[in-house]
Amino acid sequence: MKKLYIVLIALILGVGSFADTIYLKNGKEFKCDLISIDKDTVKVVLKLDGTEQVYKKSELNKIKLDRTRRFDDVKNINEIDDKDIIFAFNAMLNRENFPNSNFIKIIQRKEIDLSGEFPVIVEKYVYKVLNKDGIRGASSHTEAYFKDSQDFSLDFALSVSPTGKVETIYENLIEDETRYARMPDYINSHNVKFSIPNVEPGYIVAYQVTRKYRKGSEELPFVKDVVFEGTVPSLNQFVTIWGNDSWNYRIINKGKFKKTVKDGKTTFFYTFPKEYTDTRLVSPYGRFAPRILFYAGNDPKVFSDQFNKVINDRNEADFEAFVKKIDFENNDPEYMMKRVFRFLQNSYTHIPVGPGQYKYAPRPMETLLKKGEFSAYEKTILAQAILSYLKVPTSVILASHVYAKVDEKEKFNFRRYTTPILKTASSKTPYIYFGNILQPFGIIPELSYGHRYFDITNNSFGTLPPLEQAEYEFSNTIELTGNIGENGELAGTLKFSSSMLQDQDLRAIRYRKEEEIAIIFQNIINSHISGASLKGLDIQNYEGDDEKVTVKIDFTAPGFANIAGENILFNIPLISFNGYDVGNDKRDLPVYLGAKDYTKYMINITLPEGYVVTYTPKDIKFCNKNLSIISNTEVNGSEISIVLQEETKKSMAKKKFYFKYKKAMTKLVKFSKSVIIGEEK
Amino acid sequence: MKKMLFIFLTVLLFCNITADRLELRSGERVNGVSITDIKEGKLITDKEEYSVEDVAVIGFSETKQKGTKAHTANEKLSKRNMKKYLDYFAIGEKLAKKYSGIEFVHIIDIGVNQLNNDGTRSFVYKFLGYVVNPKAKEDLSKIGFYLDEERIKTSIQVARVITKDGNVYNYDPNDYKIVKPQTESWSYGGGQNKIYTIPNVEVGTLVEYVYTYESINPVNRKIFEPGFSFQGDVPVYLSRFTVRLPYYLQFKDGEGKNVYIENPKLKYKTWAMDKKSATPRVRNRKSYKEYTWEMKNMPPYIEEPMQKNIEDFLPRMEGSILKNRKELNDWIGRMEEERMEVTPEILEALEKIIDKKDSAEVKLGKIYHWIQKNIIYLSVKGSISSGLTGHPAVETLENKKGDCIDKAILFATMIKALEIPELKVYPVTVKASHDNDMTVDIPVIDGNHAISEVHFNDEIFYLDSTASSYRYPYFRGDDKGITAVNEILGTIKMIPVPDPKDEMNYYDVKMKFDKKGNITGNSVGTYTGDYEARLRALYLYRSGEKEREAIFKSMVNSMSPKGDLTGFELTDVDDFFEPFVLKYSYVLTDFPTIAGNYMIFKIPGWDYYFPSISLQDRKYPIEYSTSRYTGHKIEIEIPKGYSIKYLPEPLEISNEDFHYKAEFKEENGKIIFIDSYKRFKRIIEPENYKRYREGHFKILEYTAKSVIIKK
Repeated sequence: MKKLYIVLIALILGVGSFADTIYLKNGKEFKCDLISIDKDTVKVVLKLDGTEQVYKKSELNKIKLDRTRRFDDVKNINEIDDKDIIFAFNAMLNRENFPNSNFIKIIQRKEIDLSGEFPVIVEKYVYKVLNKDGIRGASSHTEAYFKDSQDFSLDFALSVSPTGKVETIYENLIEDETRYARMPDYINSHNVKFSIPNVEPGYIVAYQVTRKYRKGSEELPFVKDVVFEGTVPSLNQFVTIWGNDSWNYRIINKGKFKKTVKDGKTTFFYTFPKEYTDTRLVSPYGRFAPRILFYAGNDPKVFSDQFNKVINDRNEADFEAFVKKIDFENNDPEYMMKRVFRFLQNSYTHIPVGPGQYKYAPRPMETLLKKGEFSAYEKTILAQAILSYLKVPTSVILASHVYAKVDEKEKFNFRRYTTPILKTASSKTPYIYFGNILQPFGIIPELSYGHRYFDITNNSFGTLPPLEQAEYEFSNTIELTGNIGENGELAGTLKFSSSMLQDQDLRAIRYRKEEEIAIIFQNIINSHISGASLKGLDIQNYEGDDEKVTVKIDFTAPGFANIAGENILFNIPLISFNGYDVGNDKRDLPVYLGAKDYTKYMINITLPEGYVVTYTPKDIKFCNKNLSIISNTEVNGSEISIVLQEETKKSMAKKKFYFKYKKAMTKLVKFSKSVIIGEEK
Repeated sequence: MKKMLFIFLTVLLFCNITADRLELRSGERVNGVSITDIKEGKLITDKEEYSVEDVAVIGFSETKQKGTKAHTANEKLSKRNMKKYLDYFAIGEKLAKKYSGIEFVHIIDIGVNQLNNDGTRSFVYKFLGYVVNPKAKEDLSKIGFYLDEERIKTSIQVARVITKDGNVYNYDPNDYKIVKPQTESWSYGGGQNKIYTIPNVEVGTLVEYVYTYESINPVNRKIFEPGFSFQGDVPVYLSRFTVRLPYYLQFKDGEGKNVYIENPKLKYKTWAMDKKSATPRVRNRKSYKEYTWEMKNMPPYIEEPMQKNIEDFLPRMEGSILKNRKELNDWIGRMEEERMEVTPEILEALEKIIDKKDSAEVKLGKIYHWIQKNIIYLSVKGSISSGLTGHPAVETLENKKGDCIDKAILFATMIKALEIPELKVYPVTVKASHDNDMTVDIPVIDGNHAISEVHFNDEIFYLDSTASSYRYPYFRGDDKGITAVNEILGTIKMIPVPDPKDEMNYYDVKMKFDKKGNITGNSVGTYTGDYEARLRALYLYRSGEKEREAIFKSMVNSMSPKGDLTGFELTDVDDFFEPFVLKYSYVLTDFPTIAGNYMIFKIPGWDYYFPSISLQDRKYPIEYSTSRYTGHKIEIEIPKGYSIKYLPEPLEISNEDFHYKAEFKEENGKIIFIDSYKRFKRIIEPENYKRYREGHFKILEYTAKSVIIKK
């Protein structure tokens, strides 16, 4: 009777070890150990004072039972046989060794067993808490799994004090949650969150999880993608893999890995003792940090078949009835594509599910045809099915993007191809994206331009075309025209239009109430010109998806200019930059500049009668393969015209670019904060 | 005949549920078993044996469960119903046209909350909505219930979609999923939900459902708190709420004592309702008294940025059958006191925290700081007792984790253990600002947070050990200007909004310009209250020298990217007894605009940001957490050979809400700038908004002004 044995130990050592919880009908709850239960009564020992209590079942609501885990009966490090925990306990590491870290990872061990029909992956993490602010990071964790294709277990979770006292987790501090409860079709995606109790600085925290794969609703190729550098120093990282002969690996990005083979098991070792403290302008570590992709039976067709099955396995009569909901006026392929796009976008809610977030394959066609809401990839699959039925050739591609970039040599990793796009045979509209329902027709996400894709219809790979900056629809323009009055008030008009890649917020006003729209644009004008009041508003094209949305705001801004004696002084409006990102004098990491972008500012201001412009800041000219910033200022008596063009050409640049970037930003900030001076003549 | 058939159906639809229920770790639920024994790791039931390891929860229930009469097939509306529903379509279409940007029209919003003689209660809700926008489809196609089989039974009477041509698509009662929704990373003990799906929800259809939510086993049968809101962010055509009270109550309370209450009375409060709407229609039915409120044609509300919680301005009612708060306070207060047991572990912990020679106030401060620093915020809820009154103090101490009420209980217990007659600390319930106001004038359970009420000599003040970086006697900003209910003492008090000096950030800056326009400067920042705590929290987390240096560099670079940090210093961030002071020095290269003989510049690092004043008019008050004081004293030494050409005129604005004073002056060839911004109130009423906005724009205009010096 193991349970009773545990009870005795608990009584000797006091509270804090693992425990059941009893909930009474009167709302009270107690930590306890369940001793016995019969037809009418329940006997427990209360943790609080060690007394034995017998309850009638009619007094009770429920009992939550603790599960016995490895090391649950252990109270001291001497009783632990795990060499990693012992190693970490004996390692003399402290805050002095890592002055900028709140906690460190001493061991990370991933063991991949491919010897059975399905993989088994055991992952173990051993942390050391260096100060109080590291307690939460080291002791609270979340592990994701797919309930329909993996058996997940938290094998142990414990802390070890510097004196060797061991505390294990208990059930009330473990929760298995559904990641998106409002989407019943995706409830197999789970997160197990847990928090190890009684952790202090200097403690070791360790846990281990096992995922046993089994046959699930999807057949996916085996891929394990491990990133070896991040925000926490990780001193000893091991990945051991064994089993069948079909597995292989590829190292992505450079890294000093140590590979050993012993007893048929291959182990890769990597150490990352560095502390990265500069977190500005950094893209996800997976893009540049050392990574290994482990794979087996890596046939992309296994993956693409899951998608193609959805298109092909259908009841033809139901499908035809669905297609008949769309009325077509002619057979022009371009027209039909647009019609299908609008039908799916306008009639069906978008649900934010991407491949891999909740499950990989779309829901079966039979289910889809009954649903009122689709994910982007389900709409893409449906559009492909409808258009091929209408003899309009298309294929479904899954694109990688800036955050999950893959190169041509990289082996297929379905987790990195996450953006579904419909590829067409049209030169006018070669790609259609069904993401946000406000995304215009023919515009794909800016982060995917120029990136690799996997064509699941044709089982082939390709690369999306680069984003052409000069294109009208991909530029942001912002234009201010105004006159300064004798009291310093600026009365003017602000016109702007965003790139069609980024204008969903403007298109979203179709779902806003009238008063809300006024509030939104009052806030916008205030963010551009402090103290400005909205006097008129005209928004065009926000209801369609062919044209850029244009906004025209009439405003007045009292106190815009400062009349100082015979001088008039004011700052350049609209252009506002700060130097936050370029504070550091050193750089350890590549520079992330965000998505490619082109913005043109045009400012035309007329001074009050009798004043002429006497001082303007020096123009900027910075041009580089990554970034260009060019300004042009012209003065004509009382009129000043400023044009500033800012273009981000590459999303990520090498770390040495940081210093050029710092220089360019310094000039830009200086320019944006400069004063324009006029003088009374 | 019709009545007979109904009764027959009702009998058929009831089924007995035997005592016990199991939730297996696989997610499977086993109902209708009787557990007879546990032996050798097996849980033995009258039907099957289960490994104890596989069982997550054993539930005990003695009640009958009402079955569900389900319409499953799709059907056509009858001619008579067709006319009624066509009227609903007409209402939906009319309101959809009237109000742009809405997701759906809420045509019927009817709730009936009934208390039964035995203290059980039910809530029947009827919804009818007209779908306007595809965005509404996901929400309207789901009906979710909180799952607690031992306390709650739910049933759906109707859940269907009706198209304009009279087709009816009914929900499938077998099409449901049990889910455990994701909660915050620090929150444990959340329950499961049962989610049903209504098919064929499309734009232009009506969605209709009626469900019953029966509370079969309430924790406290004396407490019945009906409540209803009558307006939302979509237009509501008809909103009606009915409360039914029996003529007597008879049951056994949580301690097993018989309770009999004759003619329970409803105390209620309404918000934002005119006299007519606020007065219920009262009817005496055969077995209950009925109170009904009704509102019609409610427009959708529009929220304003930074406004006080919208709930305070929407029509709603709350009620209670308790005579006064005493019973509520006694119940909660008793549970709190049970958790405040002084144990040897608590005494042992205190020995390490305080020195016996410390004064009472120093002991109070030390314990306050210790709990903030050493008890990590983590909330574990499982029952009404842990939900309302937390865990026993010793449990929180041992686990080193707890939420607001756990920390407040531990704090009160530690002070109790000191046995200082003039010093007492009590856990109190509050509703932190930015939520709606706490209801205290009728006896209902309300609140979203627990803090500590300190009685020290003749003074009463508040502390909040939930956070991790507040210096005694400061506490969280959102606890200010709100009501505190002390259940143990049975008192209700208002927590004052502090004097602005206790919510301070003040900067003493010295700068020296050279002839090339380079500035050498140093700044000393002194802080109190919320501002100080936020800075402490930042530097406690960013405790590495490099990390801190990066923050200071950013501060310098926010003044100018051509800025270099030359030094920084901060007082011991972990010393909660000393005020927190930040010092840094810098060089800003090529800072001013140099135009011929002139140097023109705005004072670096001096600016204000007032996001609350963007709107020209406001319908609702602005809500801040607390008061504010920001001040600067900036001394600028200009280069030799230069003289001051222009300094902005002084500015002073003063009213009940705020005071601002700023002045530039010349002293011994130096420019001295002093300003002080004090906001006294945390709520700015709409009638004062115009004055408030104009005053703040004047401050912004003032900060945009430049200083001109001339060679």
